[in-house]
Amino acid sequence: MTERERLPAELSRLLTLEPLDADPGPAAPLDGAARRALIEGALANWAATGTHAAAARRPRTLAWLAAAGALCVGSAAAYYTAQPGGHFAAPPTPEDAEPLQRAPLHAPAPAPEPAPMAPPATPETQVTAEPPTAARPARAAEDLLARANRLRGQGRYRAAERAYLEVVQRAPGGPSAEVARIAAADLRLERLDNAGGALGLYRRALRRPGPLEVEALWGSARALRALGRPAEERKTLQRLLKRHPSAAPARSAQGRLDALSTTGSQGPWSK
Amino acid sequence: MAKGLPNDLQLLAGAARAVPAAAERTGRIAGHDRRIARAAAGDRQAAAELLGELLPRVRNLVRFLCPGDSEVDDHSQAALIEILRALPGFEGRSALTTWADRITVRVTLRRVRKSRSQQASLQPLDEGEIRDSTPPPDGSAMTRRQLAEMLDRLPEPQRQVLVLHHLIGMSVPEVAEALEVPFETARSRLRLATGRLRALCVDDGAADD
Repeated sequence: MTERERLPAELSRLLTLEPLDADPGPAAPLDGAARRALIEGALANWAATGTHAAAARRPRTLAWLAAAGALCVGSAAAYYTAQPGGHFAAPPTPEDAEPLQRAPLHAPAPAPEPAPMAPPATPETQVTAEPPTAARPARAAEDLLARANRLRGQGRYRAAERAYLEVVQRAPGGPSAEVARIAAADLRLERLDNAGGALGLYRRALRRPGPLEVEALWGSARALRALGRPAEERKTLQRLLKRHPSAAPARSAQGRLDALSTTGSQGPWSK
Repeated sequence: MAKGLPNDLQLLAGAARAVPAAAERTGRIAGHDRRIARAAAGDRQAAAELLGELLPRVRNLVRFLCPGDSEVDDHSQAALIEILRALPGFEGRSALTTWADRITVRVTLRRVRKSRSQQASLQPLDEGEIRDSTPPPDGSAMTRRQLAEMLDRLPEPQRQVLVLHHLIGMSVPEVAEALEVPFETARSRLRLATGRLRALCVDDGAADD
């Protein structure tokens, strides 16, 4: 008789990988924003460390990093600068300077000084400092985004909000910051009863429309509804439908728009 | 290059939004799935889709391997990163999911070892953390979660051996290699873990024997 056969039948049934594909498993449920942040963090790390093929084809030189475009630059900056005890050569831009209490994301640990950076320090020039090791960006990504996700998963919404905003503050303009900003806005709207604050974050995200523009528009509309501003809500919904007619929330947006048209500011659609 | 990124990321955002349904619907990702080659070549959208489908499985496997919920997402993201890095070396001889399982195990065990070595002693399991975790609404998920919580009550070395052998399907020699322990140690732990789990089942009335 093998060890496997000695397990109770019920446990053997559960201790297989196959059901994990189809059924919910033992891990706690993960909401959409946290899932997106987790995946985006992995992708950003993949790109920032130059391990994906597109990066591998190019030498990871300062010139390439400088020319990589705002998105890649922002991503790299996020992970090069957001180190425990790390240094931030440039302050956040005014639009990203959230009035937040900096959360102690991790115990400060002495970190080597980054390589000298050419002044003035802009988000683009920050990345001219090569990380001491390839592992540093990975650690930073985990420390920031994953920790924020974890806090959110634990139901510690205020701490999670601060952690997301920390990501925004450390890497303004990068894809990680964009994800974190939307995640923080969603928390404000859905968990922290702060629709006004959520609207501010969504609108900041919309100043430079990126891959999460749909989420930003949809969030703005929901926040405006919560604030009782139907005229602005209508405009936002129309903009969403015009720019992203096949996006996931388009159907709900159309329903809400119809309700606004027929009943004024109220309708059956719920946030 | 930068010019094409917004579209790529737009697709990424779409892929991420579509993750739950896709992940719950689909099972294994075949080794010949075209997205694998695209992702290995640097296609961000393909990579995002694959990660989206792998994520639930990775998280569940991590949860089986580690006590409590607090580290699940950290370990899962580290595993996803490692999967992406290793993707160019994937030869397609097995399902991607099977290959990814092995990477997830390796990454998780490494991180657990590292975490343990950083602590003066292994922290005892926080019962409150387990009880406070949000139970999934589905009945089968509750049972599965209960099983994970039962595993939480095993000593960590025994838990790891049991999960690697019974969940991943590793042979005892493979388990010994993965855990960097002698074969006899792995076999002994497996025997102890199995017996202990049986006892827990009897105590909790969760087993059907």
